[in-house]
Formats: sequence, structure tokens, C-alpha cells
Amino acid sequence: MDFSIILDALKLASVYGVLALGFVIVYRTSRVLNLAQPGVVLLAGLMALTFIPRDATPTRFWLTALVLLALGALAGLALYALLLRPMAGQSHISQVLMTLAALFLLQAISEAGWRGESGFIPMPGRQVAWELFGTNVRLLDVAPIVVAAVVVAGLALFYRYSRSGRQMRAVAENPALAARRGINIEKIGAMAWAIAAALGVVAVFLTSTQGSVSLLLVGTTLKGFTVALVGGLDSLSGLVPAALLVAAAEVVTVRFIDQQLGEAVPYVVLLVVLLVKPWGLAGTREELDRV
Amino acid sequence: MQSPPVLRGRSRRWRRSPYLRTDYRRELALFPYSGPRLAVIAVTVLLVAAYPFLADAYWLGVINLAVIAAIGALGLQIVTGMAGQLSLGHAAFLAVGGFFAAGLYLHLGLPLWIAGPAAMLAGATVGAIAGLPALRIRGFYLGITTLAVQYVIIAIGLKYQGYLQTSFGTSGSLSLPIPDLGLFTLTSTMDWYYFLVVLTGVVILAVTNLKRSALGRSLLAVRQRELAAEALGVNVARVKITAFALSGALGGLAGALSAYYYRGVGIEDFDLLLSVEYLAMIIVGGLGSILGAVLGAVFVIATPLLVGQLIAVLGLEGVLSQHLRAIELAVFALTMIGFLLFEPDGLAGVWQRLKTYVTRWPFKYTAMSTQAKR
Repeated sequence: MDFSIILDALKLASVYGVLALGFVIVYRTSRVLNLAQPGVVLLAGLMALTFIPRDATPTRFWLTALVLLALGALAGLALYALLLRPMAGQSHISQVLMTLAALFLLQAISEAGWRGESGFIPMPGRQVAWELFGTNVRLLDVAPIVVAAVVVAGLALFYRYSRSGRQMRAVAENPALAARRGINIEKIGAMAWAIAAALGVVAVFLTSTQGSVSLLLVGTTLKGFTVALVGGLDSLSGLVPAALLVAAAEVVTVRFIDQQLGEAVPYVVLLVVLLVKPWGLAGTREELDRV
Repeated sequence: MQSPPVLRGRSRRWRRSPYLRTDYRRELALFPYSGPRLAVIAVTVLLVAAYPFLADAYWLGVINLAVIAAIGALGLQIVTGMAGQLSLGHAAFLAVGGFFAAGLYLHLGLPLWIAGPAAMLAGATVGAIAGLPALRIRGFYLGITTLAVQYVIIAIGLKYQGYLQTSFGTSGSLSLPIPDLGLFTLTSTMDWYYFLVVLTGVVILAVTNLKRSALGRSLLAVRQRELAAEALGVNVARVKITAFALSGALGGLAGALSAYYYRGVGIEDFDLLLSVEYLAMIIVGGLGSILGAVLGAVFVIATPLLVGQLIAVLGLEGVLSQHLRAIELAVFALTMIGFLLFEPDGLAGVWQRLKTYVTRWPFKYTAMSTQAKR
């Protein structure tokens, strides 16, 4: 077995995992499929392109990344407060369509500001590489895996031990009961949206260790969405195996079968998994509900 | 036997309640023919017939595209508006229809009048396959599997397009002929206009009829509450699959028509954005409403072009032309948001409210919501 395939799959899985996390967190607390997330990711990538010049020092890079994280969280808050909260009580389908509309608004902004521009984010440490198991491993190949692991572990700890995390779990379990116990549901919802959007910013940095920032990010983010579904939309524990499964399937297909089919692989995996386990690998079975 | 209440005086002749039905024939009528209603229909027919003489070639072409889109939007309306199943892959059905029609011509030399129905069949087959997960999956997850359909069909289409290009040469020789319908050929934009308008009229009638049939009512029941529908004896999975098949059939027809209208197909045109545009059509028009699907299609197709014209008229091309795409997207997104926030019933809801106001004129009773009616 070629070690580079495993590495490729792990890299892809780390990106998909973080992308999927953004969808899962929003879905758990507000039961809304956040289709605006690709727009957030795209916009974050384009801003990173603009504000991190080619000869940026590492300090400048990290500062910009932090600012973008904060901006991402703010964008998430704004989306929630301006577009989603007024839709409370409307049918789910209307809420999903609202996030779609938000996606197009974000795309319009990116179109107005960058007009289909694409490029690479200059990463610090892009020259560092080692020889490992007979393959040349760059620092940028390992970093996304580590970052993704830290993010997932951090969120798991946050959910388990912090007060807000517990409240979020309570809201995910049963919003009505949580509200009765004095949990501010709107605050929790806003927090979830902010975290999700910030995760979108993290994800864009992870993808750009591997490739360029371009309009294709929208498609990549949607593939993260399939990962969220494969794992189970409201489940954090199903997420890691789902990301590994989808990424492995995609890498193997691209490597051994056909490059062009790679785009469709996550969706095929999704179909197969959902046919066997309709609620994803570890999602909770929901009450019958109309979309 | 109790005689029906007699309304006396002016009220009987002039302001009879439109909801007072005194026999079953009126209750069952597809179109309750009242004077004003006939007048509205007559004016609409006249306007539609006279439109080619009032508009220039450009706007005639725009309406042609809108009418093709209306057929596709009616298909989406069946599955998303009536049956309540989110479909994010409608463009895939259009792609199937378009490529099927093109393939039939390129491989077998079959004309549009065979390819059209064949494309509908192909669309219906793919639609039924797309609906198959309904046997196990419900709710949101089902909607997302349609996203999978979108990507899988596009991947297959890409392969097929590559094959066509290697065996028939590149775009130039891949073009379709001027459609020959036996009795007449669709040479000019005006021929197309009348053909499309009549065809859309037939589709509208068919969907209207579908909506009041047993199947249509089970679609609405599934949308309102699956569990209740199931308890009433509706086979939920079968109804959903049928809805997807019907949606695929109309999508396939629209795809075949647009393939012949543009005299060619390209898989790049059937991306996710197109699926979402179709969703926007039925939101802007009004979810579940047949009139809404048509109005929404016209609105979504014509608005970007109107914006372009407006910019040209205002003489702002120099400043704004490079941002045209962004402006189109923004207008698109903002209208979608506006309708979702302020007019959830869409254009059809506006029309309904207007109609209620006129029929009820001296009174201000508007409690009968459009929500309940559709």
C-alpha cells in the first residue's frame, strides 16, 4: 500500500471533517440546513487572498487569520440575526431556501469584490518537508490533519465540559424543554451560527494548504455537507468516520478509476450509506417531520 | 326538502359570495366559470396571442425562455410545492431531457416530436430512480439525496458529452436541426412562441387536473403531515416516487425543448445554480401554486435581463458593466429573501389577495388565507 494514498485520504478527510462540523453544529441547535456555508467559506478564502500578500511574514499571516476568524464569527451572527431568526416558525423548507438565498447574496458580494479571482494563499512553512516511509511529506500535508484533530477534539471538550457547550447539547436534545429550564435559545442559536461560520474560515485555510482559492470552493464545501449527512446530521461522533470514509472513497476513485468521477463520489457514498442507514452512521432517528 | 337560502335584492345579482355553492356541479368544476373570471381568461388569452406583435424580437425570445422554464418549474412545483419534498437536483432532469433528445437525434436521427415524449419518459425514469430513496429515507435527508442525483447525473453527462465530442467532432457538428413537427417547422422566434405557449397551456391544464385528482390530494396530504397521510391510507413512499417521476418528466420535457431552442446542449449549463434558480422560481411565484410556477419562471428569467436593460437605459454601462454578474446575483438573492420574509405566498399570493379584494369589494373580509386554499 502506497503511503501517499493514506496521506491524501487523511488530508482530504481533515478538510471534509471541519467543513462538515460547520453544518452539524448549526443543524444540532437550530435544525436548519445551512446552505449559506459555502458562501462564507468562499468569501473567507477571497479575503485571505487579498489581505495576505505573497511576501507576508508569518506574524502577518497569523494576525490576518485571527481577524478573519473573528469576521467569520460576526458574519455567522449577522446571518442568524438578520435572516434566520425572522424565519422562526416558518416551514423548514422556507428556512433552507432562506440559507440558499443567503448563499447567493454572499456569492454576489464575492463576485462584486473579486470577480472570479483565484489564487494561492501563501502559507508560512511551505518549504518544509521530510522524507517519511519513502514519500516526500511536506509540513503543509501534516498541518491540516493536526489542525482538524485539534478542532474536533476542542469542540468535543467544549460540548462536554463548558457551560455553553452543555446548554447547546440541551438545546439539541429538546429545544422546548431547554427553553423551559431557562436556557436562552436565541443566544445558543447565535453562538452555533458564529462557531459554524468561524469553522468555515478554518476550513478555507485547510483546503488552501492543498490547492487554490477559487469559485470551486463552493463545490468543495457542499462535499463537506455530504460528509455531515453520512455521519448523521446531528451527530459529532459519526463525523470522523464519515469524513474518513468519504475521503478514502474519493481518493481511491480519483487515483485508480477516473479523475472526473471524483466530484460525484461523495454523493454516491452518501446515497449508499443513507440507503443502509437512513439517519447516517450515528445520527439519531428523528420524528417524522415534513421538510 | 329544505330550499336554499334566497338572497334578495342587489346582493343576489351583484355581490353573490364566490364561496356560496348551491350544487355539486359547481363544487367539482375545474374552473368555476363566473363572468369576471371568463373576462380575465379572455384578456389573458388575447394578451398572450397579441404579445409577439407588441414586443420586439429580443423580448419575444425572453418570454420563450421563460415559458420553457415555466414547464420545468411546474415539474418542480409538483415535487417541492405540492408534495413538500425539497428537490435540489432539478437541473439534472433538464440535463437528462436535453441530452436524451440530442442523443436521439445524433445517434438515430429522430426528430423533436419523438424526442420530446422520449425525453419525458427518460426524465420520468430518472425521477423515479431519484425518488427511490423515499422507500427508506424521509424528511431532510431525502431532499439531500437529490443533491446527489444532481452531481451523479452531471458526472455521467460530462462523460457522455466527451464521448459525443470524440465521435461527432466538437461543438459545430453537435448542433441540433430546426425542429420539424410534421405539420410545420419552428423556424422563427414567433413560431416557437406559439408552439411553446400552446404546449405550456396543455401542461398547465394537466397539472391543474392532477392537483384535484386523488394523486394530487395525496401529494398535498404528504406535504402537510406524512404520518396523518399514511394513517389515511396514502402510500407515502409511492406518492413521493410518483411525484419525483412527474417532476422528472416535466423537467425532461423542458430540457429537450431548451436543447432544440438553443440548437445544442452543454452539460456546463445544468449546474447547481440552475437547480436553485428553479427553486427560486417556485418561491417567488408561490410554493404549491400552479399560477405561481409560471409567474415565478417569468420573473426569474426576465429580472436579470430587465436589470441589464435598466442599466443600459440609465447609461451606467461604463461604471457597472463589469459588475453585471454580481448585480444580477444580488437582485436574485434579495428578491428571494424579500419574498421569503414578506410574501411567503409569492406572486400567486399577491394575485390571490388582489382577487379577494375585488370580489369582496364593498367589504374588507380577507380572513380566508391563500395558505388554506392552495
